[in-house]
Amino acid sequence: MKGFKRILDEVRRNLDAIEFLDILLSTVLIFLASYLMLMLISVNPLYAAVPALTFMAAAGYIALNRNKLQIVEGEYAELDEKLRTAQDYLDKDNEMVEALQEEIARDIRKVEAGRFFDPKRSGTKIIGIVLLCFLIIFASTLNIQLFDFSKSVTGGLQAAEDVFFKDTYDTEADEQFMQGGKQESEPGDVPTSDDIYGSASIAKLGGRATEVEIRPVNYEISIRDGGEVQEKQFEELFPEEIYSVTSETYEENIPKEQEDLVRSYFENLAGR
Amino acid sequence: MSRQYKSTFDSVFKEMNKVIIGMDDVLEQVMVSIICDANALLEGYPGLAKTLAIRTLAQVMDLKFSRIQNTPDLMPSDITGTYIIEESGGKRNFKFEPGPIFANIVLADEINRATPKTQSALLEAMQEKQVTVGTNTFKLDLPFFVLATQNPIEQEGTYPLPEAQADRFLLKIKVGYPKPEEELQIIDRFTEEMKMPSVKVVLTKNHLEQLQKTARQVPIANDLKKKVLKIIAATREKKELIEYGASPRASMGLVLASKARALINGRHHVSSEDIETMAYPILRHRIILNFEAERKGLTVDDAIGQILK
Repeated sequence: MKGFKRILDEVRRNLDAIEFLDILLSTVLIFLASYLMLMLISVNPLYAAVPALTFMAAAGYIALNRNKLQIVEGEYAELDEKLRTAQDYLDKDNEMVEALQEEIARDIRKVEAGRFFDPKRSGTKIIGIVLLCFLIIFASTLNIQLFDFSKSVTGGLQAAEDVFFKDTYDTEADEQFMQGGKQESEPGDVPTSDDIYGSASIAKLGGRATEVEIRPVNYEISIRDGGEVQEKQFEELFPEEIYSVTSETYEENIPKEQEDLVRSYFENLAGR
Repeated sequence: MSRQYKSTFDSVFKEMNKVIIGMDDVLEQVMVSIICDANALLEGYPGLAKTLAIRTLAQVMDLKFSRIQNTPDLMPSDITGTYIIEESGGKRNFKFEPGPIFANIVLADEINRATPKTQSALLEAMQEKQVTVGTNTFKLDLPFFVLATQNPIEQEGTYPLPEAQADRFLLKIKVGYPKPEEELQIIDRFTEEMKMPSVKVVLTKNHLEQLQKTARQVPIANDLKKKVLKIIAATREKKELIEYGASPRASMGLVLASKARALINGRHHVSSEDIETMAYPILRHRIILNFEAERKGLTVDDAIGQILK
């Protein structure tokens, strides 16, 4: 009885391994195809893991629940319905069950694992994987991009926003920016470390977010292409007719009684 | 082991084929019924050797055979037996005189010609393997089978079996016409010789009982049990064809008959083919077609065929 159970377990294990290999190849194929597609439309290609892992989980679940013995029976007509019957009667013991187990033990020697492995199918998948790898490398090197999906989406959203919400602002900061900056700021205010790069709203032009992208794959810079540095006469850059027409002096409202004190302070500073 | 059983059954059929020609399917189904320790109803036109087939089978298996020719005036006591007055030593005593039911194989010929009262007398014998006469109950010899026949024609003046009674027959076996070449053999065999070919005893009662026990041990996969349930459930759900579906007795019967067929065919397990083949004789008398199906000219076998598709 135990020996027969081992036979059935071995059949199942071998089929599981073959199915797992097939699922793995399909998963890699899906991942690479998705990766290439996402790269071409300028979406983070790592999102390709989502369909690939989803497929792997679904295919794995189906494969685990598939009756392996039925697959063997499908390939070997002489085992048809015998394996499943024997499996269902593992815990029963009578002369007919024993005779069935003996018959299966004899017939199962004809079962070859290679019968369940489709070399043509697996070969096609491997070729597909290699081909996709090359395509990804070429597309990365040549920086091929069919269209910018994120911009299209953002553009579409912005267009919709412009149509429906053109009179409103996203944040209070945007509003302030549109009104000419912070009204309550005093001269001499020092920016805090929080806004050391400036207010987020400053980065918005007319309420639109700007995006600067540095493509990681296009890193080569040819110094030779720079050529000789041309000397520029900066005086020539400014036309002569440009001159200052008004000048204003800044007068501080220093109380009369304090003027001497302030003057002596600046004289000390000047080292007089 | 399967080869042993197969050779046993093959020798039974071989002996029977000495007398019966071209009824392989019918003989197999009758044998299924006997292996299942159940009763069968044979339906076919007159002159198709139904009676001869059953009689020969009883001879091959060394079983006591009796025949009841059913007529409208047949009384239950004509079947079960009755008390007669016997004189011995100047005293008169009632003595039970067993009827033809006291046999191993009882052929109830043209059962639909008997009155319902007489038909019901067979019920107890078929189901309980015993008969009650007056206040006494008599056990019947085992194995006990009732193999009844009926004609599909000349329905006038007949008493079709009630559903409850028909359900007690495991199988309803259809006996068809032989093929031309088989019919030629029949002509040659029965017109040239005066004497009927003799048959040998191949199976004994004990051997038969052993086969009946073994048949129940034939394993059947859970998938196939589900298939049986699906078929039976379909007879209840297919309302566009069937008015009344089969009972759980049909589910049990189909599994058991499939096991017996597997054993007869020398297999250690039940196959889908067994179930599909046995579904016809099991369901034939257990489902009633609705008016729409009858209007379309469908037969019960057509409906079963559609269920099995």
